[in-house]
Amino acid sequence: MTWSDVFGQEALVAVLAAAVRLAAPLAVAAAVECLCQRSGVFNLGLEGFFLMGALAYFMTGASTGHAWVGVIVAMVVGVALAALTGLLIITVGVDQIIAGITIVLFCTGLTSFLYLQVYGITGTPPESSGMSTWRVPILSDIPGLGPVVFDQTPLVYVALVVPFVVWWVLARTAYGLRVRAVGDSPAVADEVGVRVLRTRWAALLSSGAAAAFAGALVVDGLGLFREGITAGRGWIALAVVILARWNPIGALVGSLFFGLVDGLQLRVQAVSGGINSSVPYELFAALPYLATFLVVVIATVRMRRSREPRVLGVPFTPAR
Amino acid sequence: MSSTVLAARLREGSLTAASVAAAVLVALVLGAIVISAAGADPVVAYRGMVQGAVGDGPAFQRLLVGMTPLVLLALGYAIAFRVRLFTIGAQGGYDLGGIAAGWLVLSLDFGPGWVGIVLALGVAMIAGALIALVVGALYTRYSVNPVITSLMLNYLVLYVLAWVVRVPLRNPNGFTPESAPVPDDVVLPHLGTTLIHPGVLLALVAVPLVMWLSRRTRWGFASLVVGLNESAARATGTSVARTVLVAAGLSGALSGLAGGIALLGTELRLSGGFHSSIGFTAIVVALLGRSSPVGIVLAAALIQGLTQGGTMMQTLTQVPSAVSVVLQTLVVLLVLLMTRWRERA
Repeated sequence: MTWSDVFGQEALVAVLAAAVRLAAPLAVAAAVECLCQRSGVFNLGLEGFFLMGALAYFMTGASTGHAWVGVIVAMVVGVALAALTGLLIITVGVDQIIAGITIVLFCTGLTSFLYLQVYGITGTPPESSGMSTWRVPILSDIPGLGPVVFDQTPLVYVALVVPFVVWWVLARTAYGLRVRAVGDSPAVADEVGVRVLRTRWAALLSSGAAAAFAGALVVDGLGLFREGITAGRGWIALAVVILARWNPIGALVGSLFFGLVDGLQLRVQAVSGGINSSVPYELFAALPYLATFLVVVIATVRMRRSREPRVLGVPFTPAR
Repeated sequence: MSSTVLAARLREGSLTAASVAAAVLVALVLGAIVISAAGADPVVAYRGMVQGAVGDGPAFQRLLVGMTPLVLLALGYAIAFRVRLFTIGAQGGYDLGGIAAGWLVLSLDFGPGWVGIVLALGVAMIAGALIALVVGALYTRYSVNPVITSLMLNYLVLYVLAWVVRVPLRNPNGFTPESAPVPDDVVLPHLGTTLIHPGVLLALVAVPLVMWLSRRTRWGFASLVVGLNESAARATGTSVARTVLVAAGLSGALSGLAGGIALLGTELRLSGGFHSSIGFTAIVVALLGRSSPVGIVLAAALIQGLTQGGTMMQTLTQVPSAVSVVLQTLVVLLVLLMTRWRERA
């Protein structure tokens, strides 16, 4: 392997395009998780939503040629899982961290069971065709930027727009105002007539749909499905929320950073030449996790928690 | 202990046992529906599960040996959860414990085997404690989310393991990256012709030790106060940071010990396959055991039974054994729901 395999001009365009493709799932999941956490609900189970969304999309979309059907099925699955989560943490008030961890474990078991049941314990799964790319006219001809950003699948474009939509909802709509109110002082919000639990339910269900959508993007981004395919990306999305200080546009920027790290390490792994390689490719494979660790530490230490929603993770029981 | 306290504790215990039993029942019914949908006879499947779990002597011995790391890891979680340090890092401690123990016994010779075993398990505990202390220190000093840091460290250790067995400890005669087997004299000796090894005993000793630690020591009381109300703890002069760090260190040492025992007792060599998902299964055990040492032993028996029974069930019915993971986590979800419901009522 030589460095031009990674940083040569042609290779670099491929790496950057992969970076955008791999940033997309993080961006959409983290942006909507910002909304969810701003409402005071910590949906910690994102990794589980990613996994279930990925499997649902693969089974009903990517392997059948009806990618859009798969996207919709994945989002329905995400909403259903979010409903289960909400029953636990909003309605009954189970500790949100413990509930989230359990949801992830449940989804890990369920995806692996369903996958092996459908495709056989020893069988080979069908190819993943996924969604085809759509070159945006004119914009894709911009030198440099065009082939990197504007030669992606429609799903990626949607994912890149979502953070702006979430920002607009939070900053400019009545619902956004309610979300911020119930996340900072639910008792006061309740006092003035905001339905605290209903506001939180809506935020949680959207974050579930978004995270499952993100799972579909992971399948498309890697071009396949296997057990444990999401490889911690759901957890990385949670780290992005902290890095972005609960700002959806910040989440998009943070996701692009992690997408770049991921794209680089995948490229190095692909060209490093297997188990006898002298390249310590484990170091590169570990980069996304190392980066996440460092980013979470640095971001938390520097922000002094001033931006965190005040009652994040605290259940609320309405007085009436 | 006064009789009223004992009575209260017994009532609480039996209520918990009853809700776990109800949850298991509901999960089994749901599981039966899933198994039928998968095209197998649930009666045959469940019979296979019981047979694989406790069907005969060897199965029962496997159950005890399999429970050993689960009990140690879950005790570690219980200690950390006691001070509300929500780490999910036991997998990293377990893997690192195995790596440290393996590295030691594969590169140095200590004369008599038991010296090597003691040193290897000691090094494993230190390695596990160190990595958990990173998470604990970042949490208590800077409030860095321990779920994320511990999980990322799990992944980093996984890649250290992959590198260790591919480069420095690589067995040149192996086809896939793996280390040489550990020397015979540091393999944990079996009890007679059984599968039982001293590691099982260590786990059995750890249970009352953790009970004593949390009920009879200063740390035990401090951790209780910190877990209930951090600012109250601070107001009464308890050092929250020290209490959390001790919890992190103990919990990490237990996970490292579990990894060391697994390496010298059952795995016998390092490979990518040493990394399992046992650190996550142990979360299920800790939650089901309601973080009480005795509860953890019972929960570990149930979970290990479901796991190894699931393998038998897969052989008999072709239903993927992952169905046991679904059952286990369903039980936990139901128990969480019921317990919280009861608390609110």
